[in-house]
Amino acid sequence: MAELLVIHPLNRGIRPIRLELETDFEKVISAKAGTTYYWDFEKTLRGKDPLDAIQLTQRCSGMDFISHAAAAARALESIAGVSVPPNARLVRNILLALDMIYGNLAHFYQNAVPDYMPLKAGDAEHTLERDYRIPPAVAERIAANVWKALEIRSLIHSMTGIVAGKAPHICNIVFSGITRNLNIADILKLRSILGEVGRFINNEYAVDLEDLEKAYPDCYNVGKGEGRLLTVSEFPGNRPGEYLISGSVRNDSGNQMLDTDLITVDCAGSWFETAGSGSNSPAGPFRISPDKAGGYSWVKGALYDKKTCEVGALARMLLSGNPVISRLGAGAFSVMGRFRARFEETKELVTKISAWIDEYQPDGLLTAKSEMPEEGQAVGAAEASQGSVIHFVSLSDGKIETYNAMDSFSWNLCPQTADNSMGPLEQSLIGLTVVNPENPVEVLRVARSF
Amino acid sequence: MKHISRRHFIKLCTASVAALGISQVWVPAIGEAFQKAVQGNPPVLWIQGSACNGCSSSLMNSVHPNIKEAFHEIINVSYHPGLSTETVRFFPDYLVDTAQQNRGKFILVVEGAIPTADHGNFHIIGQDSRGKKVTLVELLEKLGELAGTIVAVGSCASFGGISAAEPNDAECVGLEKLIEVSKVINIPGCPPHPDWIVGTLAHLLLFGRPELDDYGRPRAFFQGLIHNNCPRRQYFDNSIFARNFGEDGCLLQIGCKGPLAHGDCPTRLWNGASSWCVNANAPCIGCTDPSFPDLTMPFYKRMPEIQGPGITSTADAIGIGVGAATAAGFAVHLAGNYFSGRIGKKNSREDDI
Repeated sequence: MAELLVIHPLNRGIRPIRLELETDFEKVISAKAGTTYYWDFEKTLRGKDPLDAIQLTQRCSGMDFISHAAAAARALESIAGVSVPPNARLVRNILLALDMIYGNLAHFYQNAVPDYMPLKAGDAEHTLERDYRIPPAVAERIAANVWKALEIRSLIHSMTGIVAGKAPHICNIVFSGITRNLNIADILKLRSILGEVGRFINNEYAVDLEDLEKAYPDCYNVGKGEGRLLTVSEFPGNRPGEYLISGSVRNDSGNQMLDTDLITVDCAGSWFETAGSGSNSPAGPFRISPDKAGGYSWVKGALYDKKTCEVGALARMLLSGNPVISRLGAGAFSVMGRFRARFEETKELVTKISAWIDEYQPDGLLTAKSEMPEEGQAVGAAEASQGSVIHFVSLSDGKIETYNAMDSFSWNLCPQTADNSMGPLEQSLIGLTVVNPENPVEVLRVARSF
Repeated sequence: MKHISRRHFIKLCTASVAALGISQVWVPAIGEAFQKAVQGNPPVLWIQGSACNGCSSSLMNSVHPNIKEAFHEIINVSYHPGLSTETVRFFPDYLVDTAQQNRGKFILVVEGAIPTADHGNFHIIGQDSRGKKVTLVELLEKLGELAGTIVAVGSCASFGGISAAEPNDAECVGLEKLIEVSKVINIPGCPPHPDWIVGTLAHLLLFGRPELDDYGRPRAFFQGLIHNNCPRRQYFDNSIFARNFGEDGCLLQIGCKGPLAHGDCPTRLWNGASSWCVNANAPCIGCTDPSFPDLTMPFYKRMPEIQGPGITSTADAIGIGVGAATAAGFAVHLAGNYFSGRIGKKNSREDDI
């Protein structure tokens, strides 16, 4: 007989999640994952000055705020047909990379690690039921790094502060460029702090992850998801159309270029409705509908070519051909594969930031000459640690007419769709064995791997 | 110096000497607070309402003390949604039980606004042991009654902030609208500076409630107008205004809300004293003010002329003379808040002054 297991809230992520699972003979046979608080900026943005979107949308997430600022700026720049000067491109790349490193560290040390080892007095008593396998001396070292990682996160935000005024919620990204150039003193400070961050990543983070892999090799076999991936283009290079990560999708027929026209919304399992009859355009507008039958989440689901897709570091690393992650084969689609992808990305970005600092010319232009158009519509996108951030914007009379900000939740936490497909996180829980419903560690580990 | 006086603590907290964070306070204060911790500092329950979690991210950027020191030696955190290592099975029961065991003593910290529409159903915070969904409003009403002190962290928890921006479908409110106002300390900001959070909690533990202003904000951190302490103030007094980002000059014409907002950002600086908004050539967006964001938008357009009963002021008028400047600046501040309807309801704060 099927039993119901509810985990509400699943804490430690960027937003709390509600999980509702049905198990049959200890196996998960159905899963619903959603958010139970309304957090939406679509209506707030309507009628506002378009420039304000860059500030307001940062408040979608206290973790991935830089990607929202970048996506909002890029959408407006796309409407105006303007490309930003080289310094603005480099500064934005540096900021986005810093935010990804920050998010990846936060994910590993604050979100994931506590499910694998005792960190609090009294935890060790539960070694068996919580499946703790790391030897005590190693666990002690990793536990110290959980705190150390918080210091490193703070250092990363100091770098963001030097570049962008303050963090969280930066103020130097504006329409058509940035507000401030880095000077020589800034660059020296950035180099020095980056060195310290890099040492933590290459020494502590690298070893801690290896120890986790050694103790939990089976975590390369669980939490597969549906295997479709999506990333938008990120880290633009010197030449137009050149990116470190090219927008692409891996679906049932292989890898292909991303075409944002194929993105739709699906509100079947959501407490939102598309306002136009039968329209599934991500541009909106939307209506809230808290009493809707079948609704269980405040997330508007996102589909690509009518299918759900996973976003995040795994998607970025596999779709950009990272050799370590590619070699994992099917194992990449797993709890540990996601951890490994975040690590490989973090390591790579430290060297990229260094290269972007080298490329920087302290006296270059801040903004491109351009006027904000009164009318038009566009899509602006950026990658965040957690996954793709995509803004759909239309302007009319110099004001925002519609605005929909999609983020990793729209993809990974896509609620059940009109054709009864599950979202990637839900899918990844199906088939798990839950030995002890009082301590459903198997579920927690998979759910927190995204 | 083992014993630090309240007066000394406040002096050290204030912006004039605080460019290095609150480290100067910390060294002497830590010994004393630590002794208290041995006897058991009152636990802190940290609840996230409708928020982006940026306030928590900001808290973790605390430099002196760093977050480990703060949590190990001063702030006895019983629950924090981002940092607690356990996944509590019946979250609302756990919180209410902890609150009851520490009735009248514990500190309730709330980050984020509280949606009140549809009986609070826009924010379900968890499920209790009877399988009932518990709304944030319900939970806070219970915890608020049991708490010794309530600290609203961030502009959303203090005044509604971005969560309550028009049209505010979820009818989000700040804590004061829900809970007895005399219990609440507001630490606004989007997000607030970590020193403001840690400094306020340290004051609470060492000396009790800090002195608050008319908006329930600790005076030590919020008494100064951004505009009056701005390194670009001289430009303003000489009527030199930047028209584009990156130019020298006062940022008023490109949207600065410094004449409206209170805080010590210009002297304290952010992220380990690395910078702040105006240092980045970007205007202050007024994020600590009760009128944020509805009345501080558009962020990149010049503040409008403000006319209210008995007050007609433009920001230009502030530049007439340095002497008149503070008064006029304050008038602008009051007028801004007059329009948002927040003046005149704080009677119960008289005991704080």
